[in-house]
Amino acid sequence: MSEQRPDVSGPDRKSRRRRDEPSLEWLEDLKSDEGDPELAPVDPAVTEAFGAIVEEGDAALRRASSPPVPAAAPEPAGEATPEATPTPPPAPGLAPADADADFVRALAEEGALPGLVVGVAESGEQPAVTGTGPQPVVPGENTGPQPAVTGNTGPQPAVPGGTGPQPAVTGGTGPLPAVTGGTGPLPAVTGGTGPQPAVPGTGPQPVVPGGTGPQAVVPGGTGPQPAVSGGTGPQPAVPGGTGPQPAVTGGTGPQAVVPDETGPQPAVTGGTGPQPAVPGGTGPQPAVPGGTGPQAVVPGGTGPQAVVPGNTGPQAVVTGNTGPQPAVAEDGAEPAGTGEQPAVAAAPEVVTDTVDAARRTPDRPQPYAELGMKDDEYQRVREILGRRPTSAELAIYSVMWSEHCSYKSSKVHLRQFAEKAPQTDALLVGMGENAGVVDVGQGWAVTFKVESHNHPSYVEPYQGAATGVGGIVRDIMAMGARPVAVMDSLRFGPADAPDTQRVLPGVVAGVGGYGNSLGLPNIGGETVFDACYAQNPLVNALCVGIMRHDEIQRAAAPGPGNKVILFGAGTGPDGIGGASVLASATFDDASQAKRPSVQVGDPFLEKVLIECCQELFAEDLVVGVQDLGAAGVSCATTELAAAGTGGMAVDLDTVPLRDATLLPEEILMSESQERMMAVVEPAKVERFLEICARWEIPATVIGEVTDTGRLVMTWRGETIVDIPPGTAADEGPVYERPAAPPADLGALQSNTPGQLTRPSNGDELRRTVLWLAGSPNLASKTWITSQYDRYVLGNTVQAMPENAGIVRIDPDTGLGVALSLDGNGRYARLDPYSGAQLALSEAYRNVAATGARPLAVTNCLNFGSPEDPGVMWQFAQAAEGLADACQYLGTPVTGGNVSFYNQTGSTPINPTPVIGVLGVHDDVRRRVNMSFTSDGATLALLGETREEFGGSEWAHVVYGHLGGLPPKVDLAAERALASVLVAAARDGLLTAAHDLSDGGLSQALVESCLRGGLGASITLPGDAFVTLFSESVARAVVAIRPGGEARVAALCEQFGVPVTQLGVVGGDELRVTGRTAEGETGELFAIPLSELRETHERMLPSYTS
Amino acid sequence: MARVVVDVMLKPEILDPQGQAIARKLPQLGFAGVSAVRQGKRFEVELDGPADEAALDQVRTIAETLLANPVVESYEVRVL
Amino acid sequence: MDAARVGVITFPGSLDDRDAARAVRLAGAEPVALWHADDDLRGVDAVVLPGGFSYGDYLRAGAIARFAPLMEKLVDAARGGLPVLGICNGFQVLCEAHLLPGALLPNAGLHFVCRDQRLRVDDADTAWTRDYTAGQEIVVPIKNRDGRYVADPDTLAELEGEGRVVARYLDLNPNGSLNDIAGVRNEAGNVVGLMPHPEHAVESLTGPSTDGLGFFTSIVKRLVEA
Repeated sequence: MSEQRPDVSGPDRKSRRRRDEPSLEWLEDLKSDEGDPELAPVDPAVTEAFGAIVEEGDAALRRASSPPVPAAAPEPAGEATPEATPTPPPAPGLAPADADADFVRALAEEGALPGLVVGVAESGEQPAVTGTGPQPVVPGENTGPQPAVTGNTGPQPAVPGGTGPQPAVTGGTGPLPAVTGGTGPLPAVTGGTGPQPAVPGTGPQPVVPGGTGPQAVVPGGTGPQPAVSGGTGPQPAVPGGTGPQPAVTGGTGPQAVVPDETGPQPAVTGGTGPQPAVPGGTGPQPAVPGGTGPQAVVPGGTGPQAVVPGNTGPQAVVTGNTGPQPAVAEDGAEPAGTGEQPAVAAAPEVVTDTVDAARRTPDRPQPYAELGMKDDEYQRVREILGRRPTSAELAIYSVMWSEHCSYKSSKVHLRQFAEKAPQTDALLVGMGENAGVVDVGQGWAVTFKVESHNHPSYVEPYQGAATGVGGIVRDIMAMGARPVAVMDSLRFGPADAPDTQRVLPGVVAGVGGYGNSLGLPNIGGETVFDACYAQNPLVNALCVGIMRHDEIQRAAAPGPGNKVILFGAGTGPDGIGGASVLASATFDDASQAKRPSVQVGDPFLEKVLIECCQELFAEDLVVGVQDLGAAGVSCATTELAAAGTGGMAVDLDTVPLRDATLLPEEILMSESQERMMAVVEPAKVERFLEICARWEIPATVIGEVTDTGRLVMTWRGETIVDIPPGTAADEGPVYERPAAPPADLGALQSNTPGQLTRPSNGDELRRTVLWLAGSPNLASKTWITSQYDRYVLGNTVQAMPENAGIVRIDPDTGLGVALSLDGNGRYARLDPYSGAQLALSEAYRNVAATGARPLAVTNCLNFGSPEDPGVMWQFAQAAEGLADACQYLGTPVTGGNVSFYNQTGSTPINPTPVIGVLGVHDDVRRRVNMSFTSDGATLALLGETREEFGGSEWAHVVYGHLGGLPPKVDLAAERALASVLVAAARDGLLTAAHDLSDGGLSQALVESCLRGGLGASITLPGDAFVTLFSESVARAVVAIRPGGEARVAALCEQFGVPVTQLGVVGGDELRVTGRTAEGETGELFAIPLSELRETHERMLPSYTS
Repeated sequence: MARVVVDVMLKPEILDPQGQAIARKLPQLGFAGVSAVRQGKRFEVELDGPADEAALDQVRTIAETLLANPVVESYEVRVL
Repeated sequence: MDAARVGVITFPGSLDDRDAARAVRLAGAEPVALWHADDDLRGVDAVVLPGGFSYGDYLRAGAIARFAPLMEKLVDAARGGLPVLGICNGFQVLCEAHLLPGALLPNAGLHFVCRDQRLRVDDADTAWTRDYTAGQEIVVPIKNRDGRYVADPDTLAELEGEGRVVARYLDLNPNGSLNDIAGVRNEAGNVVGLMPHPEHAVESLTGPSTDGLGFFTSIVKRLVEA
């Protein structure tokens, strides 16, 4: 599965409901405005002027062809004077014969807008501005209308609420900034200004002349919008409550769907092409003139439709309850008479875009651009199919070829994981399946994967995080495994930022809420704070599952005649279009409009689904299985079919729906949660359905495997999809996007931390230790982790804050696995190639520190927009670095996830590859934890410390500094260190081991002392500051079992790991002796554990009742 | 097809930390003059027939048996 | 002598059923898997209602599970003296089924809490606590979202007066339970409800202690003697 996206369909899908009432009652509603809830939000004064506005709209339309003249410039006065020479304004009342001024005056004369007076000097009005470039923001409240802006001034800054109507903007100024609510109608925008931003609650807007391109979405409550003249291209959806919309003239192309409650729509003139469906409740629609081609279905409840003139081609079926329809005239003659019924289909049929229809209407324009497809991609689909795609097929291709599902920007780089994969017998299933599978010995196999759910977690933190966990768990289930544990890697903006305080608790509650309800222990992860994630939190969820070797399932559909069964939750309108649209977009103002519901997860259903799947697998009832994530049914069917014998026949009517009004395209794109798809031999179907029934899980046979090599889907008896599935699943576009180092990288790397002032004496060192220990990234995360159940299933040997989470697989032999999930965005920002290798090194080191043999890798690559060459370069570098390091260390990448578009505006997040490493414990009883619990044990520092502070916590916490190069990667040293740690654990030589990473030795000592409740007496080798805070790689601090010192030293010698005696465990303080830079030696500082604990646990509240 | 609403609230003597958390949040969001908030549940029950006394009795039984926990919650039934 | 048979009921959404079974086995008894929709207790000698999120905690924790077909049989058997231990969600089901007084409400801190909790066993005479001594202090994980025990003042007075509080929180009350109550018993003493999870403190490898084993060895001893 891939990342799931919030529902971005503009109109509120929930408002589409079927009217049960007889056909003409809508008329009663429409006649009286009084009490009409749709008009309530609009200013009643505007409502009263409705009639005038409609007339003016028509009038404006007629005048739209006349060349616009710059509007009157009101007298200069007041605040925020732009830097321009005021031109003498024409006197009020001598306004030019211009559509907008007339329009605005009409409103004023109607008294429609209290406070609006045209041409009267009010304080705050500004002189005209010509050719001076963008003007400064006009401050809020009562500055009054702003003067005309003439050509070549470029985009204007936002006008805050309360400023009243704005004067005309002439051509050449480019798009205007958003106008906030309450400003009243805007003046006309002349041609050539480009698309205008959304106008909230401002009342009806003036005419938009041709050439301005599509206009932004008009939010609800703004009342009817003026006519859009030809050449503007398709207009965006008009949300509910805006009332009837004015005519759309020819040349604009098909218009967007008109949602419910907008009332009758005006005439569509010829040449606009077919118009989309008008949903129920909109009332009669006006005539469609000739030349527009067949019109979409008119659903029930719309009342009689106007005459359809000749030459429009066959009209769609009119469904029941619309009342008598006029006859279709061949030659424009009068209709046969009201009450007479022409042939009207009896059943409420929906006219579907079938394969046949696609063959017959090859030139019908299709909204592929709105679905996120490029022109060449659309052409390619036409070539593949030899005709235009049906809308269902278009839905499938658009979503399967989105960045999110097809990995089109990353594929060329991800290939390296397979190309450079180290040879290892442990890999049972490599990349390409739902998750990778490794052999851990004794007949057991383990599958694990990490995935992102970043954007939804920003929109709706709880559900975004919850459904992220749900999705990755289903991926693991689809491999045939029982999920046994989860982990999460979370990144937020600054800890004290208000938005972090909105997002963090919701995300944590969501991760916990879903995982706890599923009964999966959370055994580890990380929480990181950095300003770059402020509007782009990262939520990466990992799941690990176990099965016997012969229980591995594949996502393939072999065997013609086998049945395809969809089971789990019903299919609803969740996330329709989300996968392709929002996933491949960044957050900006327009995304505020995309705010509506994220998918809502039901962990209870998924828990039951887990148990059900386990029984299905145990009885060997399944030959292929796939979970449904992004792109739902589209993805599951194309992937299963493509991986099997290549053919599948599906009857979409059989898909169990939560919402009976869903169209087939919507069913295909729905991202409803908790669904799986299985391929089952016919003889086993009954038992399959029986088991599902026992667990009360809906299960339906929706099709069967064929040998035609085509994926064919029917709806209401007609074929609406007939494609070669591999073209959607595997043959998506492959981009080789331009890549170049970010322009600032040189400067960033040159800005080394060398010149930052270092602590020079014991007191300053002491203060720095505490400062770091209490800083957001290094502070205790107990407040978060205590919201996760770590005990359920009874096999958790180790969990956070330990180096790695450990779960036992076999209670008899003690076989188990260790997992660590790590990343470092700052390192990667300084050098993405090294940064990726450093993240891998850290996870690898963490696993080895527990005594487990690192085996395999999963990764989640979180980056900004791939359309930014700097980001693309970072990605390419990171992928290469990771592939090279995995090859060297012998740990293959088994699967993972890419999350692009993590940026708001033009600033991407730091490149953040998050790496998960899985290792094996032959016997978990020999694992080593990080607690200093054995009084008197010798402490030793393994590895070599260099002077390396680029990207370090010290530079970040104390100076907010990011610059220079990250620590030098040394994979040979990592491997050597791991060998020592694994051997030492196996031989029982260590009572504690903790790897060194963020915060260096200082932080490692703080954590181990606090965890064990025992202090330590330390003598630092070398320069005290460097030894304490440098972040050199391949190092660990170990507490040696008394008597084991010689053997540890021998292991270090054998593997070539430098070892230095550090001190001894004991006491209730962290007592440190060493040499400062100035050469003073002696005791530098002592910190009582109580003080360390108080500092370390202060930042996020420790749990208290 | 009548609709009946069952409102379920914690009994007054039961501590309601959810309501308290909400009340604490309001001043932070700029709302003054609210002294307390208590959180409950609302169930909308759609009946096949009219909401006559017999039907309402049944709804009350449903409320007592399932919708509310009589140990700590009280309920009210009203017709929409 | 045949091993004692202890039933563990699985509802849709039960999570710690397997762990309860493991604890029963470690204590030397034979765990018997019972299904919520069955109507037969299969002649078990005692029953454990395990932790989890039966029915997703929809409506209220335990509110729907309490109406499971097998629960009818269980209520009858419990009134007849069958030893029953409800852990966490199981405790919630027992309260909803009125086999125990009071109710469990959302934690006062409004968060799920998972921590190693110090407890004091106040009643060491029940079928499930005989292997402890009165006043014994133990460490057992607590992990739940709706663990705040409440009862009206009369019921509380009765519980305290009759010594029916089985265990109490020490050091820190993780959920705001009245009188720090972590577990209670019925009048007869055969039905015990406990919020913390003794089945997760039975192996030092996977738990904070083995202090929880006593709940299971107690019942085994009692059944063997009977």
